[in-house]
Amino acid sequence: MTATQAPDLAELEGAEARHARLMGAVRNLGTRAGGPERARALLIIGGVLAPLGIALILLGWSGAAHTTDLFEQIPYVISGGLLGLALLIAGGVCYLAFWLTQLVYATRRDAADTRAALERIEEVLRGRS
Amino acid sequence: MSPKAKTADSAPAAPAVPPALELLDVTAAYGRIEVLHGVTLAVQPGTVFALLGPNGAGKSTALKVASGRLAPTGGCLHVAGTHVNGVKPHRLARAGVCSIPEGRGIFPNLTVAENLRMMTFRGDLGTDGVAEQAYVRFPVLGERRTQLAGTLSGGEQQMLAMARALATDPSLLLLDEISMGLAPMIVGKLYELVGQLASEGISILVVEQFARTALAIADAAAIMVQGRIVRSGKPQDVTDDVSAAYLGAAS
Repeated sequence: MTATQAPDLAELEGAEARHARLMGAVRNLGTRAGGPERARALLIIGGVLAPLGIALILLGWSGAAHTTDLFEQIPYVISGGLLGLALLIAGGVCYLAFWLTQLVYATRRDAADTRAALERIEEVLRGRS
Repeated sequence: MSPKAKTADSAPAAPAVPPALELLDVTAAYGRIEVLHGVTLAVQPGTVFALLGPNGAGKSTALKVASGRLAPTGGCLHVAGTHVNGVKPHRLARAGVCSIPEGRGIFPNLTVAENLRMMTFRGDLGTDGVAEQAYVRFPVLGERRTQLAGTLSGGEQQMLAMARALATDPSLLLLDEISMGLAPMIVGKLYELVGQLASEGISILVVEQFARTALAIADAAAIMVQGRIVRSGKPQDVTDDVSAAYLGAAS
């Protein structure tokens, strides 16, 4: 059910002026609609960062394994190992956030379904009594 | 996101300007508990919209969403036609959306004058201008300018809250239960002022548990029960349903 009411704007000069001012003030505050899009973005970021991190760790290991000189191994460890580990963790966190978001959405959907079912049962019982 | 709910605007043609405030199929939750289940309402420019309902219906939550203090979990919040889901409340306040929360939101340990001085962040009026404007509108505040706000009567505190709100020269005013704990005569005076503010062009959403006083000055009204709008329209259209909704029949 909605609640809207259209006024006669011709009679509202003060309202028009204020409204125009409000429109101007909020114009650059606008945000984009959509929560599912943000959750999807988390999934994509996680899906890119985690494999990239694994690839970097493998490259770092490969580089470090093919030299016996310590000074040559250190850059591989830093660029490959640590950076790769950081990307892997960041990707994992993104994926976890996506998963939790989905879980909350699912819980809310279930709660809404349960509530609707209970309301239907209540209606039926009210009809019988 | 396209709203699932149908718009039930009975006007033959859509108004040329967008509503000052519009909630489209808004859902909101505290943690995992959903409180608003698809609320749709619109406050047209320069009008008073009364959102009524029994205690715990979700009215104050709807107001929190409208003021940006609670981000909706679904649906759209539009201010003057702009989608503002997730915009911080202070940014909305600077844009001209002013909210007077339940409990008035004044500083009880500051004097009346100091409370007014805190509200000079917006607009061209300086400290003196804000105070002068407040004292002209509410002479009693002028008499008590050096008194601590916490020692004012309930009605005077509400006047101070209104004066603070008006100091920001708002375009959209959100009022939460302004009659709370006040004598009927004071409530009547406050609502007279609300009607006067609307006639000055301020769009007003008033959340109220005591329906009669709010309906007297409202241009449109809706009854909310258990997080849903169950009845809406002109005040005379919803008057008959108020008692039933409060007693549980409309849910």
